[in-house]
Amino acid sequence: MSNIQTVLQIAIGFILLWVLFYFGVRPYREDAIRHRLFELRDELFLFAINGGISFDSPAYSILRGRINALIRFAHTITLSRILIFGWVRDSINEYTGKQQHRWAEGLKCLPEPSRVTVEDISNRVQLATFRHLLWGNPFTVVIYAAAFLSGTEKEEELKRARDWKIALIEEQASVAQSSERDQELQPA
Amino acid sequence: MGTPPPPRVRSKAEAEFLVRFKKLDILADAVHLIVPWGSLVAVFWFTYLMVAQLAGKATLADIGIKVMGDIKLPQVLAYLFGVSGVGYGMSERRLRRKKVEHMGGHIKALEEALDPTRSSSGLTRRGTTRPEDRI
Repeated sequence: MSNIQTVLQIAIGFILLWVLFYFGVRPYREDAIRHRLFELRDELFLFAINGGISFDSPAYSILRGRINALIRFAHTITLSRILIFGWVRDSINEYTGKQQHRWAEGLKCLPEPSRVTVEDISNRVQLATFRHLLWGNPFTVVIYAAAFLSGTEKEEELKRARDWKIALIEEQASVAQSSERDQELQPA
Repeated sequence: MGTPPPPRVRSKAEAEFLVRFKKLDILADAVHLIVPWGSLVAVFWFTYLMVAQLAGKATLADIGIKVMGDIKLPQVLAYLFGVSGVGYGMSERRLRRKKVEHMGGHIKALEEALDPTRSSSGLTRRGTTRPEDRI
């Protein structure tokens, strides 16, 4: 009988851990990444208020739109999603390449100091997304913890984020947001 | 009353891309759902198999009664501690969301005064995922 008791107690323990993870930890992580992105959006807004960049500038509206899309679809930033989209990324890159081109053109229009700040905010958005993604999976947590303990530089981390095509996640969120906006424009 | 904006006409390539995108999106959503619910089903299934193997001729009802009867006070206290911690965390979350709802309106109004074309994240007023965006 004691064996059955042990099995049932272990099962109850697993079920409670499951509840804690899916109703506690996961929503907390979503809120935490959203909070980080809101901070970065506020930083961009304050930079614009202080005259660093115009509210009408394409770079401002593209970056703000991208952050907004990530905030809205933060609950979909998962490793499985990036693997699925990364699998067929060539066809998606073909389309999202235009967005990247618009972003690069928008940056070119900015004076040097503004460009550096806006690019830095954009990089930190990528890093925040990358870290959120890594902390969400037990396998990647081990990799990330090892890299963190070995003192990985921010530039190195950013390079890894680019290798992982984190921009693809940003683009997915932007595409989802823009396609919905287009639907709203369609006559009922 | 203003004229509504004309509907946007999509190119064939763009439409094809969006269909492909939607298919992948559905696949990713399915994986997102299968992992948590699949793991819960697996816990129940393996528990059932192990208990059925160990139980012999005893009925599951007997086992349940005996297991519940064998629970000691320290175990009850441990469960209570865990459940109370979760309850505390959820209350704090509820309070934070109320605060977001309270402060969000002020921030929006102030920002719109400075940038009339201000775009929004599209979350609910409490800062949560919109019901139609949930997986």
